[in-house]
Amino acid sequence: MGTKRLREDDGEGKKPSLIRNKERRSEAFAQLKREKKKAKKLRIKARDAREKECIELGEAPPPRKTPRTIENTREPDETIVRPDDDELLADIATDEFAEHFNRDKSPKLLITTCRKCSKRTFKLILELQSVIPNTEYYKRNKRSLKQLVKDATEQDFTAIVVIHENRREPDGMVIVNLPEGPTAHFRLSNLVLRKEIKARESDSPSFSINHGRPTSHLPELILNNFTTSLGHRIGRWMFASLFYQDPNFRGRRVVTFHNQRDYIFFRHHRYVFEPKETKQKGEQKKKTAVIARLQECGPRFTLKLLSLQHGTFDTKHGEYEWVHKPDMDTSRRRFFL
Amino acid sequence: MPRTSTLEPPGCPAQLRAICCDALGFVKVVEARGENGAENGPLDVVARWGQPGAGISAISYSNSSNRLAVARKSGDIEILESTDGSICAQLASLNLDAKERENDAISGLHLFREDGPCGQSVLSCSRNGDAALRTFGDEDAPSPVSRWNVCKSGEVLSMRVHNSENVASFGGNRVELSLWDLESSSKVWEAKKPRPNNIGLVSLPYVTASTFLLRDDHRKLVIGTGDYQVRLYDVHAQKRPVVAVTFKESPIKAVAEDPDGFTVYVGNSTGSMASFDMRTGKLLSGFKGKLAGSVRCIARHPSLPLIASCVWIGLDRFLRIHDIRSRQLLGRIFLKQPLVAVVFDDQAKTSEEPLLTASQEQSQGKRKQIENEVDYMDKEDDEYEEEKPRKKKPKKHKKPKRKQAGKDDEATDLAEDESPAKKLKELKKLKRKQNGETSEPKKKKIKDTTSEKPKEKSNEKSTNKKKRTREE
Repeated sequence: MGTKRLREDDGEGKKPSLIRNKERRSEAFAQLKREKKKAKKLRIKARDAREKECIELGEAPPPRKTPRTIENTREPDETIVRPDDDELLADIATDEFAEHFNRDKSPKLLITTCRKCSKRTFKLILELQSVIPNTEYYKRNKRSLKQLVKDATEQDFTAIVVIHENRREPDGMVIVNLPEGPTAHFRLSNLVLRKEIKARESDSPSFSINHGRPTSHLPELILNNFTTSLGHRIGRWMFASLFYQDPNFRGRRVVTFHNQRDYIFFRHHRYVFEPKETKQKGEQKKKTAVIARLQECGPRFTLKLLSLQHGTFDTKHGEYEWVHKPDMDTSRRRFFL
Repeated sequence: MPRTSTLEPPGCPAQLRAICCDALGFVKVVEARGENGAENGPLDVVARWGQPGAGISAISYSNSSNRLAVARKSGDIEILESTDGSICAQLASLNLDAKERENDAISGLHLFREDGPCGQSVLSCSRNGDAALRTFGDEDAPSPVSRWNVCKSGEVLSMRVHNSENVASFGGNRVELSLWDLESSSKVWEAKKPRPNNIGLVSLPYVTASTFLLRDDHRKLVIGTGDYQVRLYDVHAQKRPVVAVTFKESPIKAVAEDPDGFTVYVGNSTGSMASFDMRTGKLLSGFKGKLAGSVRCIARHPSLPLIASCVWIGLDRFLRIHDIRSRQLLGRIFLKQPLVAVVFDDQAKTSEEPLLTASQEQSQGKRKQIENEVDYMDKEDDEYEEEKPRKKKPKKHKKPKRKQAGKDDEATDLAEDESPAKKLKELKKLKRKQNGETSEPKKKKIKDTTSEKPKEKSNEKSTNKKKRTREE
């Protein structure tokens, strides 16, 4: 106690959190903030001036510091794939998805639900059908997934997508690649359906549009940050094999699977290039520049990989290529995809 | 500052050499290399043999000839020199039909010792149960020497040849475990269906991995099943399993025995590994090491206390090496391809260490050592003749006779007790004195319970009688 009092009485230069009087504490804290802000402004100003000076002198400006984030301080992983790896190329040539990427087979999807499902799942399926081309909805009834896999392979489907739900909210997705597997099981969360995508006032003017309606053009595909060998298998092959390989660029539709810290974000957009006039301050002249604008078409959801199974769906005797276990989460800087 | 580096495993002993095969067709040699003559070092791929495309389905290694037999998915078998990977013999697939070949890959392969009873030959078994013994040394011998069918239907998943190379075991999906004599190529023994469960359902046989527990005795078999069980069969005792333990909730995919004669290492399809004591069926320990995918093969180093687990496919295209004593992960290496099998090449036998058994390794104090020796003696000599009948007998005689049966058992036990058992008792007494009667040996406990139960029952009966009399 004694020491604390002493510190309090020291007055300025001490931590504001140690001050007991609230008014004085908040005052001190505000003061501290102001000073920090000021110092930062000065620092940036000095840096900009230095850069300008360097450019004028024709020198290379000093390198800017990169902020430390969880992504760029990721634990080193030996499974990260290198593009010049000859074994990778040999593997790609012989794996389950080779037929699709050699253009011997075009994707044909079967989409169903769990046994009892509600309105929201149906809506999601309806919207997924508009996102992924050549998708057929089949009623699940009481068929088991194993039976479904059999039937679908007979009818030359290349993949099955099953949406599961819990308490009337879709919460899981199983993708089975046919005829040989693999099977991936994802947790599905943060679902926003098309109609729920609305412009907010806080959005910047270039984004203040409500949802769009997708056309029937074949979409382009963006796969971000799938780096490890597991990531490649999930992103590059599993997701990519659901879509046709030659997109219709006229349609300006993009489907994105963006991986960040092992969470895969699914987005569906339409883009447009617009000439836009901008005024510049001093010269009073109007400049026209081409600007890309985005309109989201929905749905929007997040996936998290739970397991990747070798072969088609079989929980009893199946063999897993990768299963997430709690003891793997040893560090928040360790990622698998 | 956050930790941005992974914790490096401590490294493997320098004389280690493992050969690993993958589904793409490569054979990779992994060695531990200590820098500047250090004892321990990280693992490194030293050589890569083979071409991509012809995937490998099974391998076998012969220690005496330093040769490696590799079965391709096409059904062809190659014999490689384990030193440089040069092919010294090739055997074409027995399946002439190309379509059949794809469905009928070789699931079990064994390369015989050169000085053994079969000489320079290979035993292979396909998924359909087509077993063939073929020689590759001399061209005059008929090829195949013998060929027979192990099962009429089902899928053979595991084949093991005993150390004596006279007997082989086969088992698989809907194929019950069976022993075959290799000379006459006839079935010697076949396991029996397990008893129906409480609903009356009998699970179909699903043997996924098997191994012979002892080096000098082919009568004790350990198998892993698709129903999550590890089972010990004793050919001498009965046709049903003697010990059956369930391990987690996914099919067992790999089983390997320890030279000590009772420890078994088990791996399953979700990447869990553990060791079991097959005398009691108790879990000894689990192995950590961030295993994420199915364990395809476990190999025990013949002289060093190490096991290599080769974990299959996916992210987990890793080879991992564990220490048995500390159960610590010593080293791991990413081998890029889905792995199929691993063997230790014991060619570089520099260590003069005697063969250590896991039990001895785990023991730390003298007392524990004594205990183990006692247990070992006890179990090795007497268990399979003594204990099993005891387990059986109460089952045969039903409830009313139980009391007597228990007594009889004890009597027979005492009669059968010979010198090792006497020693045992003496040692136990000593131990009890030392411990102050804190830790009682297991066997004694079992006896106690058997002797106590009937007493309780008799008490109950007497109380019942009293009640009746009161009612009257």
